[in-house]
Amino acid sequence: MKQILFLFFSSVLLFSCKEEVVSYSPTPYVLNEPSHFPDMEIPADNPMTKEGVKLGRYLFYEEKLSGDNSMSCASCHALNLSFSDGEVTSTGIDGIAGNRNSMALVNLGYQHFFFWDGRSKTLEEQILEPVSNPIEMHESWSNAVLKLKDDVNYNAMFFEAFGTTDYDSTHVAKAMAQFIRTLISGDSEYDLLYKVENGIVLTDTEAARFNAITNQELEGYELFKSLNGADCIHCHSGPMAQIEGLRNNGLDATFTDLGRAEVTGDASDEGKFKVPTLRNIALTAPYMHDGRFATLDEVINHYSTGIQQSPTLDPMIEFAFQGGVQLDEYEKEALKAFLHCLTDSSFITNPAFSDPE
Amino acid sequence: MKSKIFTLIVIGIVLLAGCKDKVNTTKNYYCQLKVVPLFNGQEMELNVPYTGADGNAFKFERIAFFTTNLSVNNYGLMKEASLFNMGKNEYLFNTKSLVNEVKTLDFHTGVTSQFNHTDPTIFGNNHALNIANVDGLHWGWDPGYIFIAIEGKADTIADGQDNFDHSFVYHVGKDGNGRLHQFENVETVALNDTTHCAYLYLDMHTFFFGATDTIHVNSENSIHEGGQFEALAQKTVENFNSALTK
Repeated sequence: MKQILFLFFSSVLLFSCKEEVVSYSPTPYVLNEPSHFPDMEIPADNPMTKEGVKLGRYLFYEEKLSGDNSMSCASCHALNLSFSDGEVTSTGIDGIAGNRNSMALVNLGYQHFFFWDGRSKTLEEQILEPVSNPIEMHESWSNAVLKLKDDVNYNAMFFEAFGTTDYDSTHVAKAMAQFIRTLISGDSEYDLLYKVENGIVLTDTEAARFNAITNQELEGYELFKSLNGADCIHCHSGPMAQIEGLRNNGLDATFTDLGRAEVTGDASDEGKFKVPTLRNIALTAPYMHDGRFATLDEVINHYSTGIQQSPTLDPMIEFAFQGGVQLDEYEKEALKAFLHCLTDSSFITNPAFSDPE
Repeated sequence: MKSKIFTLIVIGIVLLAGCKDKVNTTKNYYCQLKVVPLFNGQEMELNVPYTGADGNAFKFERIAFFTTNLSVNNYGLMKEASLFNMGKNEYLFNTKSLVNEVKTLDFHTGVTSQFNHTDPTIFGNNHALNIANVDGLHWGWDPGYIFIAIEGKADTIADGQDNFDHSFVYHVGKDGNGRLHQFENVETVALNDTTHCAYLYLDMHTFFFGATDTIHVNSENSIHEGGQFEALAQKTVENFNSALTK
């Protein structure tokens, strides 16, 4: 009898132990890509896994990555603002303001360079910068990783994602990159217009939403893509609502921030900045690389009458000779109404993107 | 018996040696087709001023065009689509091939109608027509791809001072504005034992000051889409295609 009891309790203990064992058997993560998007290219050395995405999500919201444990990536990239922060420029843990506006994090997995000046070629490379930047999170990566290693939950999650507890900043960057690649926005009214324009059949639900687009919004869309209207389409086209380019959009005649030229040293790049997506643009004020425009009205006025000439001004801004595209008030209101059609509510309310704790 | 075995061994060696030779003759070659932009016969760069026949100075910021249905030496389709984009991709193809010399070339400039109106996301990740690879050269609606994109600035005031404030933008697309090119005896250079590069030339001076017509940048500095009957669109197409030579 004693032997039977011994065997029974041993079995129970073994089963209990088994539950606590963390295994490394990562599960492939299948991205939920809209049908009208190109296939996202995933780097061979950082395949998407459910474990990696989960870890990346925790890390994105992790304040231990900052010097005083007060700031996470989400501090400047808030979900309800399409992962921007609503500030002209962001302020780091030491109270120092940066010189550039926090960019929205939307569909970054489809892009090939990052930051306003395009200095990072990969998401993994980009993610390494803000933590150690003295005017942002101001923490050394070695300290940040040590703090993570004090947390058994992180050790378990890193093992599940990468099969190691001896992790470093590159593992952090890989996990966060995986999470950021899931931040896909493709369900706005703009997407419905894009699909119809390109002969892609709408579902019944989409057709109902398409039919609800107002005449004013449609007039705004016509202006948006009209070369003799607002002429936005040259830089904000396709499923990403942006081209992948660096352009001088006529903000200044002379430059205090040289933009791309600070990276290349090439005078022909002065005043050029990354063309941002217009997705969720109504949520991501203030606008431009330095956050100088507080509202969409100010942005529209800039392109209408405020274009400044300079040697590197984008030749695609064809009405620069008259200060801009000269929209009247009716057209401005229509264009603004259309810009709200780029808001993707399902994106900013997606529970998979929120703080996991 | 021994002599028979010896004979068989000798025959085997000969056969094996024969096979080895055959392998060598079927080795793959790397074949490239590069487009070299010129201005009045001289190699040119982006964002550098060049003076045209009319005394105006030109700086180019983008020179790009699509080709489709490219075949080499009449071997059938070699590349479904390519995008020449100066400074980013200057090869119409760069691929492993059994071809080691480009004798004839056939392709369309522009995008043929079979591809021009489809969903631009259906092409594979490495395909030139995938929306992710076109560098903005798709209008996003029915006309489809921008076949030819020439952008830059001109200095139209001959006062000796740089004043490049006169933009030019020539964007042409639409079915009917593509052109078939057939070149024979294309210059091919052996870069090494297995890699050969053929060259085409695109002279932007000819683009503006074509043999048959001139694009007057002062007054003809912008065209988009290119309907069949727009004079500047037609001039853009014809001058561009005459500027592209072997």
